[in-house]
Amino acid sequence: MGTSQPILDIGSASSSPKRTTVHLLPCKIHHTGPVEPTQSFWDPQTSTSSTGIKEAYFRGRKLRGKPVALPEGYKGVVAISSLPDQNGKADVIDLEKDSHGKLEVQAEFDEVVVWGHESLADAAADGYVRSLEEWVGVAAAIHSLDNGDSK
Amino acid sequence: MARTRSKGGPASTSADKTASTTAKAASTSTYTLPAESTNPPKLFVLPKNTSSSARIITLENPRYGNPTRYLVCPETGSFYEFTKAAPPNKSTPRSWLLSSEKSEKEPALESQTIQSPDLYLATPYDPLFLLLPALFKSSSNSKSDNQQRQYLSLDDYLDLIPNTDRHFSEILTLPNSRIEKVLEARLASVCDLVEMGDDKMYRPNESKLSTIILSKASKMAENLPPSMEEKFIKKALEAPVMGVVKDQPPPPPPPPPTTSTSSPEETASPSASESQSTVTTSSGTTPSTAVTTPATEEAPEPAFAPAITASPATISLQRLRTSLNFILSSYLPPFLSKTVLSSLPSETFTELEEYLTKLSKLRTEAAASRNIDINGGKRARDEDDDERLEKKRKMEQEEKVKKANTSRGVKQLAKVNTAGMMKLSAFFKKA
Repeated sequence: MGTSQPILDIGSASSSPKRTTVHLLPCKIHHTGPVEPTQSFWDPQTSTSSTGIKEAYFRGRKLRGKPVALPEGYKGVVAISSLPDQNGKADVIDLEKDSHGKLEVQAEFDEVVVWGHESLADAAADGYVRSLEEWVGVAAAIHSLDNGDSK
Repeated sequence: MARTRSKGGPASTSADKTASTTAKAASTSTYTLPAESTNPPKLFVLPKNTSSSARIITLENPRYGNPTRYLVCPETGSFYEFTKAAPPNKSTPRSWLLSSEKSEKEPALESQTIQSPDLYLATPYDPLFLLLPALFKSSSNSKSDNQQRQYLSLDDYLDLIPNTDRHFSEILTLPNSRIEKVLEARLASVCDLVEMGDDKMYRPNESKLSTIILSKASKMAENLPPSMEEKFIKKALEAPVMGVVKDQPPPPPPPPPTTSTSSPEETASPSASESQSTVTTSSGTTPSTAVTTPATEEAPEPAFAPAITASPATISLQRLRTSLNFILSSYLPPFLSKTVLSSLPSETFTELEEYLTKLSKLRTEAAASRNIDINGGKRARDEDDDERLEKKRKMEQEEKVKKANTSRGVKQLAKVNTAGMMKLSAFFKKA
């Protein structure tokens, strides 16, 4: 990728968005790509002891997951960004319309399950939970477009 | 390190024995892992109300001057900035697993893992911030006097906005774009306006800017998130817990080393009270038993109260200042942050300042008295302090032992630069 990134148009690959459930695992997986079939190694269950908490065993380790709903008015999106064709690179202005990249929406989700080793993530310690639960509210307060008491 | 990594673990336990043996011969697992995707998907959290014409563009960040990605929706004229949620530090291992749930009716995405733990969150962004550098830059060197500024039209200001990738000009020229309208409204909010015929001319006004920034700060301060409240308000205003209450006589000077063997719970044990009576007699001639009883009954209650507590007004001021500093340091170019701060009425934070000076004085006092405690080694300290000291002592001892145990050869080797040398273990590795 060069220093300047193209404009990305947002589009969906198909008319009806696919669904997915996203899990934030407390480990590094050195693989990016399809991992079907998952049921042989990933079978999260809703915990019987405490409500809303999920439990799963992953490679022999017990994980506890906390579903974090996305803030109201937001949707989660799995998307692939693709760059425009690079063949007409020299003449930028002429090809402006074609120089757009695309952000192709592959699937949507409405909650993130944050997994921890035996423990649960909370807003104070986990950056993801904090982003989803706190930052959205702060951003709304800072960036509201009304001029407050000035007028 | 107890690693549970085992080659072909699931294969060997699977019921299908024949399959597993053949699989073992070919590879170490029952399943073959598909190739990694060359263009990995990313996870976004986007606002629902963006239209299909929304796009991601690169603009110069008004605070840092670097190219930054923004999400723009031309139909609503709204801007969004991206925040990357990531683990607190790079070493925290995190990855994404996207799993399909077969029970749902909609077609599910193929299950996959994504190594990068990033999550991009698009939150609303006030385009006013994009305008600010261009608006106020022209006079940043000269005296910040409103009279010196010129009246310019909206287009003139928009031309001043850095447009290196031509993204900004492109979104302005989109059909049905409300972006220009929104930008005009934001511009008007910090400018003086003069109408010349059909043309509207704007002149930036710093006091209007300060008002807007301050109102943003107070809005943010009204519902500060718990994590910020804890870190910047409670911790910042927390007075040290004073072991000694002010109106009691000052603590006795460190006693002679003869009694240094007595434990911290001396006030409770009668034998220790005897030794203490020699000290406490300086404040009065009461019998030793009479001294110890009030000390044990009365002392704990006020002893663990903070020296001063912040008034509600002070707390809300601290909230306001935290919010203001956050906004100034995140969204405004540095020269403008100073301008806004200096244009605030000087008495805005006086009450808070007074409290903070008192607090810092108390803190230095507390730190000083703690030092006396350590040096004297006699006065009752809280258990935490004791434990900490104990740990420190142990660490020091361990280090000493370590140093003493290292042989002369090892010591000499430690000074040798081994950067280019092969490790000894390399000799024993299989070729």
